[in-house]
Amino acid sequence: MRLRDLSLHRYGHLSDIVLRFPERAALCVVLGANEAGKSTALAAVGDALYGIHDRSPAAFLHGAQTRVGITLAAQDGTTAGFVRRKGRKNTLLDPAETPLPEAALQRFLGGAGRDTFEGLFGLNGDRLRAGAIDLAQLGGRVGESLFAAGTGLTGLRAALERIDEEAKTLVGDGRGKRRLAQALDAWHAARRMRDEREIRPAAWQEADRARAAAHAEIAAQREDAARLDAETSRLERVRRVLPLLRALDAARTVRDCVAATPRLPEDAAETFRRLTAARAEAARAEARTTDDVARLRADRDALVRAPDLLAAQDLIDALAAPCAVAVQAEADLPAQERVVAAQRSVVAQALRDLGLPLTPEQARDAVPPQPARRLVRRLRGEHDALLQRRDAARQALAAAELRKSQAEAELARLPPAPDPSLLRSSVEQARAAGPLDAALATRERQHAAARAALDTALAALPLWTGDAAALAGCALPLAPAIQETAAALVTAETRAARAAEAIAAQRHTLADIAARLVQVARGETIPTPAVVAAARTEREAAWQVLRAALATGQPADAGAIAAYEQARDAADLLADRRADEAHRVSEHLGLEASRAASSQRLGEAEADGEAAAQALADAQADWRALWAPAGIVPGSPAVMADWLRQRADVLKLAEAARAAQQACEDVGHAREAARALLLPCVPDRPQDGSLATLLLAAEDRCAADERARDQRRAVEAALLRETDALPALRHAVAEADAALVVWGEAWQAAVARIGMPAADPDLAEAALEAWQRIEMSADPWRTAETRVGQMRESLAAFAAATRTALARAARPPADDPPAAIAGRLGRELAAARAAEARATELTKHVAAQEAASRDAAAQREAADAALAALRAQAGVADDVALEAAIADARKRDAAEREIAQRLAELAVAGDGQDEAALRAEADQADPDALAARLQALRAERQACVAALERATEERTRRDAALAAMERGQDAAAAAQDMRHALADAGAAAERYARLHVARTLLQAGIARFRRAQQAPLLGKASAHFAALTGGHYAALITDENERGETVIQAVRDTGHECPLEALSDGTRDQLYLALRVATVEAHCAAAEPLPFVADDLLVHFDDARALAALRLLTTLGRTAQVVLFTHHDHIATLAASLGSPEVAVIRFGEGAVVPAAQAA
Amino acid sequence: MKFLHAADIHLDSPLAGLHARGDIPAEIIQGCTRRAFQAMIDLAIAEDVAFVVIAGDLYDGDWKDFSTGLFFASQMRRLNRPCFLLRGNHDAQSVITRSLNRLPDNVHEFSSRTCQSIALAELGVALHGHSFPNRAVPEDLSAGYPAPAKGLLNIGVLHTSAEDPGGLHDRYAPCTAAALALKGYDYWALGHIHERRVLQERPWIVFPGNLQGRHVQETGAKGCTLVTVEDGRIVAAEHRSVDVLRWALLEVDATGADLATLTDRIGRAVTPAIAAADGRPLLARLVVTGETDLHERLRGDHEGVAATARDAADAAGGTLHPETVRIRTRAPARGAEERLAPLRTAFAAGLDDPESVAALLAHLAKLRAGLPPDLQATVEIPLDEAALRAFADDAWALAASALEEPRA
Repeated sequence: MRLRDLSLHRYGHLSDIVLRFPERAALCVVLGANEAGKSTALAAVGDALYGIHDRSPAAFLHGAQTRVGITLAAQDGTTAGFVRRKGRKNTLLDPAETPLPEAALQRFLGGAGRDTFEGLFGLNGDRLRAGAIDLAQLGGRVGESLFAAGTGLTGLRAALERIDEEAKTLVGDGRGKRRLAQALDAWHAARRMRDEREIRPAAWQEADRARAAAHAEIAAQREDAARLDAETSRLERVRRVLPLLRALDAARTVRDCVAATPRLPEDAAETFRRLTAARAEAARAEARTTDDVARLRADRDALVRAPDLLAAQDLIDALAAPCAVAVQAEADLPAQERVVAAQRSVVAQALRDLGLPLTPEQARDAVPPQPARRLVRRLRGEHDALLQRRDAARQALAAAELRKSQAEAELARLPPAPDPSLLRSSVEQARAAGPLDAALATRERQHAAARAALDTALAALPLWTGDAAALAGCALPLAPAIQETAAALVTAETRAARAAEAIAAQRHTLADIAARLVQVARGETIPTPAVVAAARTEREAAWQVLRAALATGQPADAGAIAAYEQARDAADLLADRRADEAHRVSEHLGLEASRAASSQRLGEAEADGEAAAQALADAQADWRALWAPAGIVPGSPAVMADWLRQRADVLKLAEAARAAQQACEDVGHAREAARALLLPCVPDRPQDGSLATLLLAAEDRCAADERARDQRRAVEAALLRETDALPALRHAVAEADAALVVWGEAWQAAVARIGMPAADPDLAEAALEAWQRIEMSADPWRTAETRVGQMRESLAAFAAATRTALARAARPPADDPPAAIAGRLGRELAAARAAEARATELTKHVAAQEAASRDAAAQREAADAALAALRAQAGVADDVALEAAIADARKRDAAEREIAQRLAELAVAGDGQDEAALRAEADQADPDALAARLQALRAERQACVAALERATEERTRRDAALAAMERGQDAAAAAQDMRHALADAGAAAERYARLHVARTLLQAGIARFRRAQQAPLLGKASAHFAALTGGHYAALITDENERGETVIQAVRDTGHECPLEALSDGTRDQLYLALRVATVEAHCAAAEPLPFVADDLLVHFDDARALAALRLLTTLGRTAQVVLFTHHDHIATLAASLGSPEVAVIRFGEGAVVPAAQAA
Repeated sequence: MKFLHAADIHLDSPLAGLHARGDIPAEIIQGCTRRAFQAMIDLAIAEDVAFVVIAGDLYDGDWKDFSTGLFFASQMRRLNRPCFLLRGNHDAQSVITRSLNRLPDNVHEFSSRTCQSIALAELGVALHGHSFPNRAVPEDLSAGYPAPAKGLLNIGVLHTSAEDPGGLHDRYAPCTAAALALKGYDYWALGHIHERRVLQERPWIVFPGNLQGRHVQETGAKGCTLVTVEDGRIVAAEHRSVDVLRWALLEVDATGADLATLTDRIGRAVTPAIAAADGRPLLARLVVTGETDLHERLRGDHEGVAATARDAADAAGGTLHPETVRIRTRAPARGAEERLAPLRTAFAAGLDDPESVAALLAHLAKLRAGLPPDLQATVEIPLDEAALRAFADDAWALAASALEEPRA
């Protein structure tokens, strides 16, 4: 199947582009610039044949309207056009857009799917290089190499390594633990853990038995302890009751001895003792009180008493209070008198300061009122403020007048100010135009560059010696005429080339046939029918000679016989050989016929060649005539097409140079205009003539003018400000003067009110201060004066009272100070009062002692009576007998109480047993052995407790062990871990098994593929490789490497064998291409050939390699159409240089098909 | 009156098929058979059953941890009502069974020497049971069961594979439902088959299934059967779930699905499983099948499939833990398949070479022999040529995947 055309109706970014592939072109080179759409066209071929999938990027622009058309030619010569639209159903259409079944296309595809088409029949530079790299990585192993090249698959080795690597991670390669081993280790560890954690029945039973034993031991020990406790209890009871029984017996004996004594009250002894004591005490008290009465009476009679003083005691007592006052007044009086004198002296001094004709007492009462004095003080203060205000107003007025005069002088000094606005405007305007100096320089450089480029291009333009203007104006033929004439010339050239090629081919064929004939004949006579017939004729002739001799009966001539036999043998031999070599004969005959036919075709071809040469000469003449008016001797159409493009480029450069010149001039004009604007404003013109310098000078001038203007404006403003301020300042001075006049009037009135004739404010201040002093002394003076009067009065009254008291107490008058007299009287009165009080007290004591004596006598009599009654109860006559009776009664009572107490103690100590039982138990015991037995019992009990503790501990331990066993040690968790590990190991083992099977079968499959494909494929690839390398490498052979693997070796023309790894990258690219082409050829021999579409395949090839590759692709193109997309002109040029009619070059997008020969 | 019928408790036996590196929280797995058994005792107490029947395989045969038996004893004390215990094939070989000679008084173990009948006159019930004397009991034990006791509700307790049409369980004490029915008992409390089956009603012949699913083949609700007796007749035999986690095998067909569709389909598979789990954690095996463009992507993204399933479970208000993800998809028959067709043919041709097959099988046999015996029984490694051919399909998928993988 071949592509006739590809119509990109609406596909990718392209619309209405048609690529037509020449019918007879074995190799079609499609040349297009980058981004022109070559890759899009390449994808469109696949999409047209196999459908545009849903999310195809080719539909990004046209969406559902995406369409691509294709015209195909089958091997049998039939053609059909198809349109493929984007969609899910009915996407295959005929050119009239009628849906077609996919089967309509399938007959062209021969059953090949998209992947086969794209994988086997598609190749680009990257995949070529990747394939070559893969070859090296495969170590030249022939199976993988052939398979990879044949299927377009890469990465076989990587895939095998990937599988190996993963398998190693699972099972390992003897270096370290891998997943399976780790999982099995984990399984073993978990199993050990489970076994360790399992509670074994035997262990449980043992623990259970041990626990039961511990419980039994505890019970036994407790029983022993109880027995020991019982005996201990009994013996200790005996020890307790024995003394009690003895005490009981003793008490009972005592009681029996005094059983006949009369019963007396419990407290009879106490009563007897108390009554006898009371009686004795009462007798002692009676005697003591009688003595006391006599002593007290004597003391009372000895006291000294003063009734006169007691009669005057009220007067004397009344002297006590005024006495203290009088003593204080006498002490304070001199100080108060000094105060009075001091204050009077202060007032007298103030009066002297005032100069008034008054006594101090008068002045004290004539102090002016406080409001009048405050008014004078306020006015005094206002006076100073008014004076300051007046002085300040006068100073401000003077200063303003001075500044005004200074401003007037400054204004008169300053020159008139210039107006900088025009200059500022010019500067701004010039600046707004931008950096015109730099712009002009840039433009000039651009102009020079454009001019230089134009000159260079013009010089490089062949076939032309004039300038650019002449080039633009020269009379060139019209494009249609050029196209038509060029097409005719190309056609003629193609025809001539083909004719020459046909002649050469026929001559080559003839030479081949001749050589083959020589080879078939092997230098021998070919037993053709004619040769056989000639041999038979010769044999017949010899026979006739011999027969004639025989017929005549003459003896046969030996020579004739030999000649006949020789002729006969030769004929037979030829006949036999003819029969034997029928095939060679037939081939020889065929070759002869072919030689004849070829000779005839050669003649025809030579005739055709002459005609073609004539047509070419005519076309060349037309071509030259076409260009003659322009004065140009033309090259080939391709050269002229290039010349036209170069001319257009030159004209574009000329236009660019003109535009640059214009831009340069425009900037120059703008610069001059700016300079013209500034120059009148700048008196000192800069010497360098640049706009920038001029602009700086203008800026400086403008700034100076603006400063002068601002200075004059400031002085004028100051003068105006001072002039405006003067009237207000003068008014302030007048106002201050008027305020002082008003103050003077108020001052006169105020000082008159405080009695001061003087108007001097400073004197007024001194007067005010003197009046202040008088006022401050007046009150203390008056107070001290009053106090002196009061003191003198109280001293006189106290002296009179003293004298009266002396007279009442019947004491003689005395000259002592009243206070001393009063003191003495007081002391005497106090003594008299004490004696009187003592006498009264002693009287009371006497009465009391007399009453106590009477009470003691009564008590003594009562005690006597009670003792008599007690004696009567005891039946005795005196107190001595009574005391003995009381003692016997006490002894009997005590014995009875002890008996009762012992019986109670016996009940407690005897653990509730009665006295008889206890006596019986005690009688059986040996008191001497009791202590020893109890000691032994305590020791046994202690041992028993220790044993019980041990048994209890053992039981606790056994209980805990059993409880732990009941809880278990989570052996189930370990068992679960075993299962986890088992699952991991299973997964690893299964995965490894799959990987191993995959690896083994994949490698075996590749080897099988090699064995099946190696010989024919490698033979073809070998020839292609030799052709691609220009004979540097003669062949490819297979060999075994050190691992026993079959590998490819390249054989140099010298016979030297070269492993793949030693080949250069470029050579390896060629090897991969050779393998690939051989595979495609093999595929095409067995199935419908599809177009081999290559994209920028030869980008890494140098020209020699590329040329060889193009030749190989042309050869392949005779079997399967080859379309080579490229954006390299040199590839197209190389293709054209092949000069083969089987090679066509298409410029992408132009839709034109240029025969390669013509393109060259 | 009610009684509870359970079997195949396999106390403390581990869950199978879970990987150590799985992200299933330990507390979900740990002690799940114990927790299920506790739940059964809770149910018995809550329903105030008259007695409990355990029809064999209380323990796992090779389980030696005696604390398991002690745990059982403690639960029996908690039950505090009669429990009739029959030894199954696992119990017969169990060290625990042989050693635990001091069960609480409420536990009555059927004799292994002959069929023992126990009459509960106060309940009007007679139980007949014959414990397994040893693991392998090839004969039909039911033949030796006595005639029903007159005037009582007769319950036959038997550990048997019965007819086991699936053949998934070992064949022990085989019998037929028809033969059991002919005995004239009112209820046959069977054990050994781990799936709940009611072979017949009136008389009732019931396998209650095991108490807790322990691997992905034991899917669905697990528990015991609560039997209600009224007027000396059985009126209901209801399943009661006491399992604490569920297993599910979720197969999702990815044919023609894009990613969104596949997510939706996974959700549709997960949602009912979560609903059926009734709030229990769900351990699920996810199997994705069918011809899909996602084939390559899925093969490299098991975790993605698992995450999608977990998300779907979250959305359905449950918890799902993938036991494993199996991608059984295939790529559409085009594209790489076509390009690799020559190689695949050559690959498959390797299986026609007897030497190659023998070498492969020998290698795999050695690999298998190095695994623990338990694993050898379950691991999917081919032993013969037929199995190897089936296995080679998976191997080819691996090879194709390695070939299609981009270069590092």
